[in-house]
Amino acid sequence: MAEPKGYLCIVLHAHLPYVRHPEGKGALEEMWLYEAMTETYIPLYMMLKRLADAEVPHRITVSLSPTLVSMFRDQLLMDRYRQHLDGLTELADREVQRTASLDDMNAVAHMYRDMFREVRDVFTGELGGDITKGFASLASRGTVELITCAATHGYLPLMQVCPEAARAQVLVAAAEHRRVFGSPPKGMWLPECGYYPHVDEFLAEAGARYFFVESHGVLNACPAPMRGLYAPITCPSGVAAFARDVESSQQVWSADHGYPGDPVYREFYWDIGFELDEDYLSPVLGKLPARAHTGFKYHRITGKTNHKEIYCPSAARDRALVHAGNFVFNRGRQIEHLAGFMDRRPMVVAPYDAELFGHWWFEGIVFLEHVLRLAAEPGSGFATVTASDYLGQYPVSQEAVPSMSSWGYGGYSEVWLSQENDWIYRHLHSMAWRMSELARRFPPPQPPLVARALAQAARELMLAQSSDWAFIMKAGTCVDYAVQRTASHVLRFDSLYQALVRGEISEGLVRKLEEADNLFPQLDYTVYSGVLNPEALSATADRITPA
Amino acid sequence: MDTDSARRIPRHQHQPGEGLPAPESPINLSDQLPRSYGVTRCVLQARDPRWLHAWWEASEAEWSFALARVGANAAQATPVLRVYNLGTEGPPDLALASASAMAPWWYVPLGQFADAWLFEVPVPGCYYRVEVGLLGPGGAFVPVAASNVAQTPRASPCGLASRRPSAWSGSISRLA
Repeated sequence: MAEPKGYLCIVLHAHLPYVRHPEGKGALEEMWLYEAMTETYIPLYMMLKRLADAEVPHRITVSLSPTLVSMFRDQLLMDRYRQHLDGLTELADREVQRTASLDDMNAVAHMYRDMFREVRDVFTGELGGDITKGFASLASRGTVELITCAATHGYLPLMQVCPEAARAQVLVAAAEHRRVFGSPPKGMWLPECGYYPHVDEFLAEAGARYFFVESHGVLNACPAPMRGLYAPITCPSGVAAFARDVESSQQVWSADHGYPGDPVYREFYWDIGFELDEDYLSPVLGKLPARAHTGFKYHRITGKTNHKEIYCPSAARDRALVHAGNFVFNRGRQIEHLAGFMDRRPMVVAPYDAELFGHWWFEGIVFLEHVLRLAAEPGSGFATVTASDYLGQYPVSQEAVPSMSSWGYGGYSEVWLSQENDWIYRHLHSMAWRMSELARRFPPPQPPLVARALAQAARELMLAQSSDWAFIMKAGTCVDYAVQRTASHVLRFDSLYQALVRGEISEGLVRKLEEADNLFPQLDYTVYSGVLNPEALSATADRITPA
Repeated sequence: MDTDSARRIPRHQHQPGEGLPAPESPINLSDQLPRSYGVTRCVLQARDPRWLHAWWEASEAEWSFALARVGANAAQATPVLRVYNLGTEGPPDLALASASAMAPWWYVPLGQFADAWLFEVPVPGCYYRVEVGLLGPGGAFVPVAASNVAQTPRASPCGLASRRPSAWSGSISRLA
């Protein structure tokens, strides 16, 4: 292969909040996990394995959030997922019969039946019910670099006043990654690309070498970045910051110019789950309290109209190949242009939510596969790499401090701190300070029950900190659920805190909460005692009390 | 039914389905969230280059004490944030009081029962600090709680140019 003029770094961030509800027989929110597993995570694994088996030279970074990994390894959820897959295949058989007299729809029904059967066979057979093993095997084959992100996807810039909470999010995530995958993460995905100066010091402590930020996080870095967005800067901690590329993001994300809006692609929102008789849908929706998406969608986007044409899988696949070709062509020209004036090979960083591919954009997995195949061809002019690969080739970079930033609307913290959700922060901050207080007040060794209560308090704090809840409150969809989740974790933490400080901790309380929120089984609560909290101390010291 | 999925694909976050509350939690959510954490404090955090958010907690006794000191009845006193712009370099450690005394400041009026406020500031990339308290009819201000220092992010590229190289070597290290 000709020497590449530069590199493309594709990063897929896979995350869902912890939506495990043992108290019910089928929460709607658990369907988020099942839908994403069926449409994104397992098809993505299958596609990457196909490329590896075909020995297509490629490198891709996959960020698996610790909450997602915890759910992948949860017996209750995976048993329920098996039942869900059985229901999907049963409904697929019904759909093939129902649409037998409708040629166009019947072809789509056959496509779904084949797809769901294959996903079920891979999940139960090849993966043995544990998708983390699949991704670990891809990592061991050298095609995938697995990284992690903050433990429960806590939005770190709004933890600045309680840095021990940000540190715990980072260190617990790294420990979980090591426990599950056997090695520390080489890099970390910052939830929502949310960065604030010095948070990289916690990443350095966790052994991570790099992270990604929104483009203005590097553009507004201090000192100014001399290579712009196309080479990393190194924070004073020694951890490298890579900037998201605007152009490649726009091509995939933009509502006006992005690929997923093409009229031949599958329409997401028209689903038989909202149209057909509930008894008929019972194999998939039978235990749910309300209607939901089933995954059977028969229409294509068509246009900005209520009239929708029937979906044509072969036409959509052909269009995905065209779009992949266009994407690779544009990256080649972009990299060639950049290489003309940079003193090292440029690297274009293209990070995306993994769930875009397959779930929201049904043809996205096909698109990705062909992007990786075409990029591997000699004429592309570039190679796919990971951030680690790039740092291996260019270990020395300009030292600079990125600017506080995120990839959310507005580029900062507006999504997670607005009038719709600002009420949560007095609780999240106060809980973090109380958790630090507990960690200092109850140093190890502690009686087993007390140690379990302390670890559970840390779990409840971390679950309350998930950025998903504030995001959902701002977005205005299923707000009740986000409020309920935040409130329940605040209350659970408070019950543990009160019991601990009063010396009234009980086996019943601890066991009940452990069963409800059972992630991070080896969580070490002392992670909250390891950092001073100057902001909290100053706030306390400055308080003005009556004489 | 929405018919334009391309416009509805969220830029980030996975949020499929219409979403309804899950089955009721084993903990009764009719319980009140903690109203107080028992510490008088004011917390300040930057939202973006031009907006800050503050929340505070103080007891009834402390507000009553402030009201007495400001020399007014409740109808005459205005709850306010006194906002200090500490500049782009920030105050030296442990010198907040003196730094605040020399810094430009202004008042942001608050709602009567507010315990949090989102407010605009004029200059990005600066350090700020606030005090929450009461402003009397004669202009006297009595603080109830003072915040930490928060820095708003830059809104434009940094004017400082440096080519100091740095690298990772398994621990924190610098080459230059």
